[in-house]
Amino acid sequence: MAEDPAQGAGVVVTRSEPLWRPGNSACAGCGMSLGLQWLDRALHGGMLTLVVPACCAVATPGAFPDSAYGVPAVGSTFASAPAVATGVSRVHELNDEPDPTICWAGDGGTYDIGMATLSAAAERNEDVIYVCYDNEIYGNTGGQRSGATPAGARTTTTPTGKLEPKKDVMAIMAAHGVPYAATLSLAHHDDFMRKLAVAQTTRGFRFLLLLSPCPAGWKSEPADTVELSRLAVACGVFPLYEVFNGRRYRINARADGTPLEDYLARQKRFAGVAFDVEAARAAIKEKWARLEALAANFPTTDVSVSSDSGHRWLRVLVKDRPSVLARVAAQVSRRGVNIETVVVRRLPDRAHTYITLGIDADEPTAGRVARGIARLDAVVDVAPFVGECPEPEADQEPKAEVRPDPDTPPTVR
Amino acid sequence: MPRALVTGNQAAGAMLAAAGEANRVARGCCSGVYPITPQTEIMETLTAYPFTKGAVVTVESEHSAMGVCIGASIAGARAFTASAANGLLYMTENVFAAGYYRLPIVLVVSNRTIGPPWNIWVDQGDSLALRDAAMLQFYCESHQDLVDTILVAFRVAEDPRVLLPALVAQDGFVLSHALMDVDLPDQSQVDAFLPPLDLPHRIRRDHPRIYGGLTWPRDTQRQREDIEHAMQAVPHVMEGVLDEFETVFGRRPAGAFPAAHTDDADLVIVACNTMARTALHVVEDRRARGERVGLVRAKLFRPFLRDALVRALGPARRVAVLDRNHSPGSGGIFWGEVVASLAGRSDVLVQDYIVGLGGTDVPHAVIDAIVDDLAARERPGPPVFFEEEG
Repeated sequence: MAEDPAQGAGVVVTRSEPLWRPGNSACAGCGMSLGLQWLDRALHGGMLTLVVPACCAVATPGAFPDSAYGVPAVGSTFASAPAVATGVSRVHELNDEPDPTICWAGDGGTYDIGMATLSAAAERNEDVIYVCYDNEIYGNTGGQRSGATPAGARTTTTPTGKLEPKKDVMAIMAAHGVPYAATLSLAHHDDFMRKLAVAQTTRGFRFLLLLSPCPAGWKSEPADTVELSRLAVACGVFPLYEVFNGRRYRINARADGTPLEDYLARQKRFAGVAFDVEAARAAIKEKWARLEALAANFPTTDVSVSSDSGHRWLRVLVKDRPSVLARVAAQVSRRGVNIETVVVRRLPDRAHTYITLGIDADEPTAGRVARGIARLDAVVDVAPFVGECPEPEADQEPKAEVRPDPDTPPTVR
Repeated sequence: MPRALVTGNQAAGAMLAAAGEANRVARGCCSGVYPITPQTEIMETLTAYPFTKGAVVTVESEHSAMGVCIGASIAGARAFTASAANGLLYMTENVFAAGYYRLPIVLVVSNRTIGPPWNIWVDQGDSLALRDAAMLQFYCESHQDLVDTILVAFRVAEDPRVLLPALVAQDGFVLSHALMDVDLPDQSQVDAFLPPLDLPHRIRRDHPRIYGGLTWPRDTQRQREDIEHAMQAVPHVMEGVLDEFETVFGRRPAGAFPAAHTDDADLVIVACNTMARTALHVVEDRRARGERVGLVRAKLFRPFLRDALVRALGPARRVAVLDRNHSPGSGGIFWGEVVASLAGRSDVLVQDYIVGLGGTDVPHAVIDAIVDDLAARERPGPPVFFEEEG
């Protein structure tokens, strides 16, 4: 059998190629395309296997023998991405290959044809990160209604506007009790990166829903993709929140009073139809009331690390690339401690990274976790904080020296 | 060689598990499974097996069962599953995908009638409905044939000259639930026969490639042509595999078209699975009475080796094809293949007999009557639906 040095047990493989290379044929202003570039950034050069069902994400990377994907990718049949990802992920596990298996699927493959497969993979708690890039339409076939299309939107199959409201897929996934589910916005970069870091430090099924404006389907300006993403959050249409184990809800950004009309007016899919703005406003209000009630017992509402008082933090300084994240996280989870937020910040020296973990633990447990992390050979320094946790300065240099050899114990402050 | 009294399903489950276990020295094995009568015992056997390096995933549908096998196989593990009837049809999209990805997944089918209306009994229409997938198809007549063919199927499917999935069929209930005494190879023998799987195109973390992306028309035609070349390599590959099987196990499983008494036969019956066993008794009874009757068992259906069939038929001028399947508006599926193999041979009278649909019994007397019917014919007629009198 051929030897493959990069496949060795436990070896973390890093890559130099971007995940989503130039030359792809995604439309101007494609939310999915931007999302793939952000996904790449969130993975910090770590390797992954991508599983993509038949959708725009398999139609736009180019035709044989070219591919814009800079990572191994499997284009599955439409309804099969979570099943194929299950097979890939199980074999990675059998061979002690730590890099994640990530499904990247549209709303058709998630809300509709793939729902049974998705539900079953979530119920089995497969070790898969599932990202739904939701453009609220069958985009690849030219814009037909899906279960994700909001009420009032015109599509080729709802020429007078869709009558039924959008399916609440987050509620469905939360009902499965998956370890982590979160919504993502292309206008909230830090929140996106933090949630991808939490996803990478969590084992089991992780569901991420990315609102992905589609200029062709939404009849919007390509330049408005990020602005539409911002407005969707600001007017309350697309709440930013996360759900831990299907029980603990945390709201990450609240509507700021931006009128719904500001969001609707930039999309011609809502023009020329009998759109009931008051009904839409009432539906948003009801959705928020439900969400606020679910999130009432979670102590924090803010996405930033620094103002989250009452929490316990570990600031970990690691050498080299942040692909040690999974090993650091394993030290936390093996002690039965939940990671509730993660911020990864690469230092300007390009040789060190700060990983800040928000954990749900008492002081002695946090101490045990810190000592476990300190034993990892890539770790230079572990600093626990309670309550206020200062952000590392953007230009901050590492405070501790890199250990000359693994036998020298790192500092635990 | 350990002997065991087992059902067809137990035998099939044991061989799939042994093949998976044999890959513990490489990237392990992984199977997605879903129950359906009459194969359920196979998937139960797999879920209960204590694999050293393997995973059996109990999914929510046959479509996903094959989906898991695809993901596992593309990641380099040995993958296999089982299905039947409507489950097989539900799986079909991913069976085609597995073939086009060139993944050597082994799929055991306990043949069952497609519904509705629901009928759990044997009919080969389910596996034959997948005849246009890029997949080998073997049909087995006995438990021993099933055991040996599953191991042969892994070897042929995984051969770098082939790299296609393989379907191994047995008759539902007639074999799947019947107890028979078999030589059941132990793990060390299976280890000796099945080398570790080294799928040349598996996903490698250091080598980004896409599988199942877009292709333009001309590349698609070339890809299909490559698959045809792989199919054409099967007879040669299979000969080598059967030689090695004989070395390891001391017996030689049947090839594509095992024949009996065809050297000097005037009339030959073509049949598959357990019907071929009954037909053999008919042939031997008639031989005892001095009639020159022979039998060809259609074991390898994909690829369909037309020349090998013509050789196996020998000098016979009359051929009765027994089809336990029905392609509405055409006739029996094996018959179509036999007629195509004998294209231009106006001297051979080929008659299609559609028998045993929905598990209808095909006893000695029916096959006997078919031989009489064919002997009396002056020219072939349309496919005949044949059943026992009364």
